[in-house]
Amino acid sequence: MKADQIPTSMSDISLDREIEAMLSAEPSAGFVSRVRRRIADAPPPGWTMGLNMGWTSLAAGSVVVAVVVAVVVSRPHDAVQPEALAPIARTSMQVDSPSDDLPAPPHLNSAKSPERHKPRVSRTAFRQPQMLINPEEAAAIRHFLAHPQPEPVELSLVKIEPQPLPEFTFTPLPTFDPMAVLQGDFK
Amino acid sequence: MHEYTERIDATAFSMEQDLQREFESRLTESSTLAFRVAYSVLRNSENAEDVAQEAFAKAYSSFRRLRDRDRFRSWLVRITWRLAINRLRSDRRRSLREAVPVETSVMPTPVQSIMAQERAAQLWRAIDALPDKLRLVVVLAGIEEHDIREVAALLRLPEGTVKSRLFLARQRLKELMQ
Repeated sequence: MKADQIPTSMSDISLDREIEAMLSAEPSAGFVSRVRRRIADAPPPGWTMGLNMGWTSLAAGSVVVAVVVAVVVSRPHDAVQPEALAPIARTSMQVDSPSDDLPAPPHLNSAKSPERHKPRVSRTAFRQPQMLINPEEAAAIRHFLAHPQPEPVELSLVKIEPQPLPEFTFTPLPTFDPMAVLQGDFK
Repeated sequence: MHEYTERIDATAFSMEQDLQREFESRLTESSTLAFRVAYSVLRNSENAEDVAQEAFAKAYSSFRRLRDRDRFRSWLVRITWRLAINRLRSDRRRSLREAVPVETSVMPTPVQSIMAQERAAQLWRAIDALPDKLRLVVVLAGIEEHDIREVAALLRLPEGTVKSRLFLARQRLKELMQ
């Protein structure tokens, strides 16, 4: 050890000398040549680097493919026209509304798992409105919107037959005198 | 197009040769350091050479990625130290100490007695008992007469830290040797 380490006492110096003596071992004469041989046998550094880069690019590529597949799978196959159904969707988009009990329209049942039709309060649910109205009603509205009738509907042709009312009999209610003292009071 | 490709190949080849040459010079200047670091842990020349060789092979495989080539020695020390510790642990597990003979680097002369050898063995045991942080500082300070600045550069630590660790290590060694 050099002088700048300033051993505090003589014993430090002797300790340092002992350690130096113990560590003054030398490698054998052929050590460096053996290392050279080993390095020569090893693949060149560029090969491992290329391998690493290959693995990295492969991993990145597989991540991209997975993301694309996830996006494609998560999208509904039969997209609802948002312009046509926007008012309906807006009125029926109450997540906790009683219309939750209604079954989902069949065209939205494209996913495999039935759990997907549960109303979920998630980002995707708000992005892609889920129809929560009766499918027959939805079909009727869709038909109505698809085939608008420019002329007013003639309602005079509709005949409404008056139905006879059932007979009503009045039953008199029982009466009593509030001032009458019944037997057994004031005991 | 063909000329352009040939030129790229030639450039790559010359870069590869430069790299080989640079590593060769590093190997020549650091072979003893790597060996001694391994030896300080393993206390056996053959094993130390094996480990140092492995460390150089590892260093070579990643040499291209080493941006600051001046840190090669520091990098090599760390690789060698880790490999030597791993080797020691696996050896211990394998044979639960088949009493690896402790080599003394200096050949015994008539002046040196058995007492001196025993003291060396005792000192090794004391060094082994030190925590890794202190042990590495003591070993590096003892190898090739490294001063504090060099040890700090090898370990990439502030000089003050190296000084205090060296002081603590000496104190502990003295306590253990008594």
